[in-house]
Amino acid sequence: MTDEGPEMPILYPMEGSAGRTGDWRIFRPVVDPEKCKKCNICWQYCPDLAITAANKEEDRAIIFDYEYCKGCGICAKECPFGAITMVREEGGD
Amino acid sequence: MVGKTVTLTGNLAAGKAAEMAKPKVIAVYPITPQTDIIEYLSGLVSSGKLEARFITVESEHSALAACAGAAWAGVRTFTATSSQGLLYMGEWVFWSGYGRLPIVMPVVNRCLAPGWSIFVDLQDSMAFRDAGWIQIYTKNNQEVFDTVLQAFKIGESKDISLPVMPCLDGFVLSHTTAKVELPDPEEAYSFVGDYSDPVVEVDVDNPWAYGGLVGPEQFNIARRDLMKAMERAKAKIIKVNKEFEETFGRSYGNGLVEQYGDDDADLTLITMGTMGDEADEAIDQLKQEGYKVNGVRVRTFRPFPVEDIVRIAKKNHKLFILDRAVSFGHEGPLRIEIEAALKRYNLDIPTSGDIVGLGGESVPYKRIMKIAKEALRS
Repeated sequence: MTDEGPEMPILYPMEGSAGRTGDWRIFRPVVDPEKCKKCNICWQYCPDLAITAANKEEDRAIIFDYEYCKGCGICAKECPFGAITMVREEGGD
Repeated sequence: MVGKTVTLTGNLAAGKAAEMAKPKVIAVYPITPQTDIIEYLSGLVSSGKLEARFITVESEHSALAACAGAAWAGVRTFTATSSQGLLYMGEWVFWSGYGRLPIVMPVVNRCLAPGWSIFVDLQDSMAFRDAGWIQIYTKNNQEVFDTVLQAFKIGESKDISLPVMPCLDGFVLSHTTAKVELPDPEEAYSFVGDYSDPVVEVDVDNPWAYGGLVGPEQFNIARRDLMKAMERAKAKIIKVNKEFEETFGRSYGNGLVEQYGDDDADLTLITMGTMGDEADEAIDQLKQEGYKVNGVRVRTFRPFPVEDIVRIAKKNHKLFILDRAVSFGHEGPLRIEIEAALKRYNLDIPTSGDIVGLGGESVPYKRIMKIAKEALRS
């Protein structure tokens, strides 16, 4: 390429480019809608964009996307209200 | 306002050129003998005379990393270093070259430890010849100024997109005051031009990442494009050298090599940096003594001017290459390149050479005269 600049391996974000990484999960985050204050701290911390933010106006808690959530537990660790618990996945190997 | 003739050290000449190109981000770490360049620019930024973000960092590694970030954001970027500092930058030198970031970074050539020394040889920048940077070596303070100005124009053009390392001999140029013609700053800026169409640019509406995992296919596309960009850079450097001459009345050979002396000489001395200036004086003196000696100063070590070397070598009987660095286990890096260029064109021309001037050892014209006479006899 001459006019449009250099050929560089630039990566653009896309959904699930590494496949359904939810399969990697050992612990599943589960939210208690009663305890969830819709602060969305977990949503900010999630490294995999696997949380749909809570909506205060609709009084709706966060929603996990289990297709891609790897179960890292960061959300549970960061939640100031203890609204997320990590539950061992059934089955496994 | 018109240009003016002043006296400047090589470092100040580099600093003034950077000032006139108006970089938006300067990230630096001091190291002898480069420090004056950034001290000058730091003063300009703190006194409000230069509108730039001046980032002070804790190491050279961070300095070039900060420059890379700024270059990715799509702004004109400047830094400078020397010797151990360049080595400490190492990882980011390659990232910037292979990442096609048009950063301008004068390297004030200083030898590498041990033994500890602050004086000139070319070992530091030579260690980075494969990092994807354009390297231009200079012979005097005027050329330092002119080359730093040209570097922005060369590296930032979209068909090149490469970082540029203008190299100047430590102390011999960096700390020695000499005459420099400075252009009118506005004319200098208009020569360089705005960096309005950056080669890469952060776009928050269309985010992208660079440095992620890629497969062999994409990897090779990128590397081959870099190889082609280096080839294109030859023509670009020649063009910029010509445009510079039209604007400011100065040029350096064809931009890639500068020849001095008779084409049909009995010996051609090939040099780089300030040794080229001393060689010119030696050639004049030798001429008075009846010797026909030709001089070639290689200005751009990357891209290497294979075609020019071959064109000049064809007219001569014998080549003598003066190296100011060593590729341990082989020869001087300049000699390696020259011999490879001759071989590529199947030219059977005798070459010899010597490694001189390491660790700041002086290479005055009288010594070059002696070397030339010995080479003519053998």
